[in-house]
Amino acid sequence: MTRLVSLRGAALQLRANPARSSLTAFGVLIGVWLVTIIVTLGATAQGFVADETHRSFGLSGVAALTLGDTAGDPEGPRALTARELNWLRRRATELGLPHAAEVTLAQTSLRLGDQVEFGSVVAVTDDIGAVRDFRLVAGRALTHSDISNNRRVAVVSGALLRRLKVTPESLLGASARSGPEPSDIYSVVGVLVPSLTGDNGLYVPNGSEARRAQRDRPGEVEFLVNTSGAEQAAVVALLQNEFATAFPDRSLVAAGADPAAREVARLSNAFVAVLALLAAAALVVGTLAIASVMSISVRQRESEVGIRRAFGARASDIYKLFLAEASFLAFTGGVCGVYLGLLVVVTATRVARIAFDVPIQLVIPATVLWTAVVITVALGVVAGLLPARTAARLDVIAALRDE
Amino acid sequence: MTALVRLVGLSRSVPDGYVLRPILRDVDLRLDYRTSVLISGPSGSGKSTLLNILGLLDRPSAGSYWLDGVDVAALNDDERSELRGGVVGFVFQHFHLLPTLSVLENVLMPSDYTVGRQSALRDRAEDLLAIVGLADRFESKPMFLSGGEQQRVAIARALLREPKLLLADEPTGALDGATAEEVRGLLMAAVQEVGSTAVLVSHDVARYGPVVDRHFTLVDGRLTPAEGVPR
Repeated sequence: MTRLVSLRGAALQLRANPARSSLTAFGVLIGVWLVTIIVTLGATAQGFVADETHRSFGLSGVAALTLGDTAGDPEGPRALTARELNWLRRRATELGLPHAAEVTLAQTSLRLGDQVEFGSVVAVTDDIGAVRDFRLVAGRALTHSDISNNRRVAVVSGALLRRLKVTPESLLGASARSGPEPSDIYSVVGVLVPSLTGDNGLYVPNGSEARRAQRDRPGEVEFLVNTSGAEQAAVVALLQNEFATAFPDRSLVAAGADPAAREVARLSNAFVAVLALLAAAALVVGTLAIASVMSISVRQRESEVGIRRAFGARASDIYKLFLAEASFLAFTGGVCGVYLGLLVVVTATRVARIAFDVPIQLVIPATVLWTAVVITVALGVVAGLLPARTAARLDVIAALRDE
Repeated sequence: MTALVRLVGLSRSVPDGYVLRPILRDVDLRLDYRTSVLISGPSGSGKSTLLNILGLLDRPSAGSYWLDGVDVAALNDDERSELRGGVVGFVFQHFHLLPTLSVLENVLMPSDYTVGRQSALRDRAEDLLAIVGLADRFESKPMFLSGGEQQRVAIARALLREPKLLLADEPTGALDGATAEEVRGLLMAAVQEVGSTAVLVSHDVARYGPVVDRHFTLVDGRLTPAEGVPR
């Protein structure tokens, strides 16, 4: 008997008992369905978090170096000086690290058009492009010309855009005011893509803001280094040590997107793993359902086994027939589970996008899902082994007498 | 000429508590090709056991059995299945159709265990169903057929692979008089057509005695030619 005949026989048997087959496959379906939803949502959520982190911090690998505790400094708290910034720039260049400096002022009230929001004015230098990947939803980015000519133009951050609840296009050309002086007014030239996290402020040319900072109060200067992962910690430690040697009274502290992103990823991985374990338990229950139904099926079909043996079926043919049936049930349940699971996830992400304006991108971990189906079929085969063996070893004469 | 069936000193005993109870005792039988035989006897005389051994579903406790020139004692389970599928066809008293399959699928079921010529077997299944008068019931399920119709399907199934040996255990035992007569006629005609050797086990000597070549009785496990052998 060929595999094809086994599969055909199994398909015929399943078709002949639709209720039993459906219920058994349903057990598997629920397991795979849960696995699909959890894994896909997990991957989508991780992608979303990574994306948001990327949007908020420019690049996930940016470490921001600022001055730490300056209580011992006789001059009191102050920002990184031009000399210190130059030292950092030189060392970063020597180390081959993309870098940039930006001045981040304290939170202030921002008036855009007729709306007022709290936010920050982030004054960026010309080399900002080396560390931040600004993606625009409208308008344009700050150009070299804007920065070098200290133009009073601004790009609105995605987080601020979300809070303002206006269309990006409506902000273009609007005036953004960060203080009472005429020099505190910027013209909005661009809007970044919406994001849920990160700085809700205005990006403006460093030179134009520096004048305001000098007039008002010293701003907090950040030196940004584009590096990530394990390398980031080493680079930051190196810069901190060398900085401490070059400027004994001063110490750098590091803050970066990377540790936060790593922590979020670690937590979401743990969460997905726990849920996946629960789903796997559901899968095992589904497999046990197959084993149980197959055992009942063997008992109900003893006569069929006897008849098939009488007409030339070998014990191995009977074994294959029942094994094919178990695999078929598992495969059908598995594939349906994946498709129905994806249907739920696709619907959920669409609802999130349309109804709640959450810019979530669906991530389908195809390899994981196909692996789930393969594992399900393997579990189905395992579940079918014992019933198939029982069927193959039935006493033919007793089986024929049974009816 | 080699006989299709040759039994020499064949015995079969089964455990009955702490003793072995003999079912068949020292049975000798030779059946040529294209012949028909009736085996009758009282209940419990060993008729079905003999049929099971002839059909390679059971093994004798002692003695020898050659089927189509093959010493079956030397065969393993798979080889016995293969020989059974190639040489033997069964018709059972209670039809033993598979309830989940259609009439045509039931007749074609033995083809699952036949290598090659599937399309030819399908044509033959349709021809056989036409011969037994069920040409318009291919897609029906057995539960929608009468007893006589079910047995006709069973006959078509048994003859699908043109078996050299057809074993029929009370083929009309579950049918009423008129239907039994009709099915008997169909069975014997089909056997004649295919050229099988038919071994019929039946209480109904009056019905089958006149249409078979030889008649044996099995009493207390011993097989003997019946008195007044027909024809």
